[in-house]
Amino acid sequence: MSDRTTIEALIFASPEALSLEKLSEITGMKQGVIKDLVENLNESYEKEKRGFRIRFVAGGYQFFTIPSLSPYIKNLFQKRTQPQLTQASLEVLAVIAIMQPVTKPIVDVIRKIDSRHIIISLLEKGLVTIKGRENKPGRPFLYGTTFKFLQLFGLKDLNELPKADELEQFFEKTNYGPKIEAGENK
Amino acid sequence: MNDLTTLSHNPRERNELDDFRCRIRLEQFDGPLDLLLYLIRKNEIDIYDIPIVYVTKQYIDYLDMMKKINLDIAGEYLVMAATLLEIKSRMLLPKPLLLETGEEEDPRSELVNMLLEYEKYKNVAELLKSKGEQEEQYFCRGSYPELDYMPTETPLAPMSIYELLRIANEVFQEEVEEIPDVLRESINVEERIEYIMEIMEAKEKLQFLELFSGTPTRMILVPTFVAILELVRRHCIKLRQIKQFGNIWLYLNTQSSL
Repeated sequence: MSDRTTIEALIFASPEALSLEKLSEITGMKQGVIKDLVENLNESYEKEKRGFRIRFVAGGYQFFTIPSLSPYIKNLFQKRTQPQLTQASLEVLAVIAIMQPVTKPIVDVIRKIDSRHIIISLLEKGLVTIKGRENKPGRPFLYGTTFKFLQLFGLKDLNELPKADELEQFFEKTNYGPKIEAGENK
Repeated sequence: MNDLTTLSHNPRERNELDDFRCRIRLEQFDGPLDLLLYLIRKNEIDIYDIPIVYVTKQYIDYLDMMKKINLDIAGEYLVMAATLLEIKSRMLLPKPLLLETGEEEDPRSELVNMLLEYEKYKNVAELLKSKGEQEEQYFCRGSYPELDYMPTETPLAPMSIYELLRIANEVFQEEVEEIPDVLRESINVEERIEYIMEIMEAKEKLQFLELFSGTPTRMILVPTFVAILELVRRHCIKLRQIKQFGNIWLYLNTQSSL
């Protein structure tokens, strides 16, 4: 039985994303080795034109079907409960994701509009959670994103998002933002 | 918001609205900065040199139009209007303000920084949106839609009182008709407690909604709901739920009695 086969079986058997730590603990293999083996597995799936790959999402490995097959899979499930997020919800989620742990007043300052209802709905959807309270008058709640947030957006971890002070640079490289001459009016 | 014309039955007013719609694209804005940024981008204005008179006018026109179609304008929009007017008036004043460096302070700079900061997060929101859309194409193993039934041996999560209130609210909304005064029976909480406990002792577990089946009146709904809360408080029953927004189950708490 090769190490590769063992890793494949473990990820297959696990009902949820399997972390590198856990895999390493079970098999005694180094994390770097496991990473390579997973890559190796994916390469062979690619070669054999299999309908699935192993992906690292929200802190662990899991089998996923490949995107090109999604129309079929969608028919299988017919209705998949997808939380529909409004533009405003996405904005609040963006501020919380980047600035966490963050209080509601800070979110409001950035958006210049009250975000109370949106935060409540994000709490209900399980995408943000209360991480604690800030030691300031009123002891406001500190909000942060959840594991489910990572899953919904297919993020490995929070490091996949730019940091608050890198945002300007980050979006200059991509086409998301308008071109802004930096340094002026600062 | 797309079908605005239906809101106005006065033909003259409707024409005016159509006219407005030609000039200003109607959209649901996510706040004053969103609206302002939209006006700036639409008119291809250099964000570092905002023609404040022009933008303020456009902004206020937009608010007027929202008022005309009876939309509630959030207070924050008015705060921004006031800010714009203040900047506008400061621009008109002679400029005595000199920074230590000898540069003039532009009254618009705070606004510009606000807009730029907000735009960054708007970009992150876009990024999240596209990532979310990509992710929708992937299905992980076992990602079956959650089934809303009660398997025999599922560990259930304790539920919060807020969730219970939310569902109670749903039940109250379902209420169909008020029964005329003469027919009103008075049902008190104690009776409902006895009624629930009777069922519970026979069945051991019970779906929350079962207690509200049929078309009960508020006269029954409210005491029943209060009775449930009271039973939980007395530790006679426990409430459990498989997942958020799922069915609520009542369990007999075997460790205590009424």
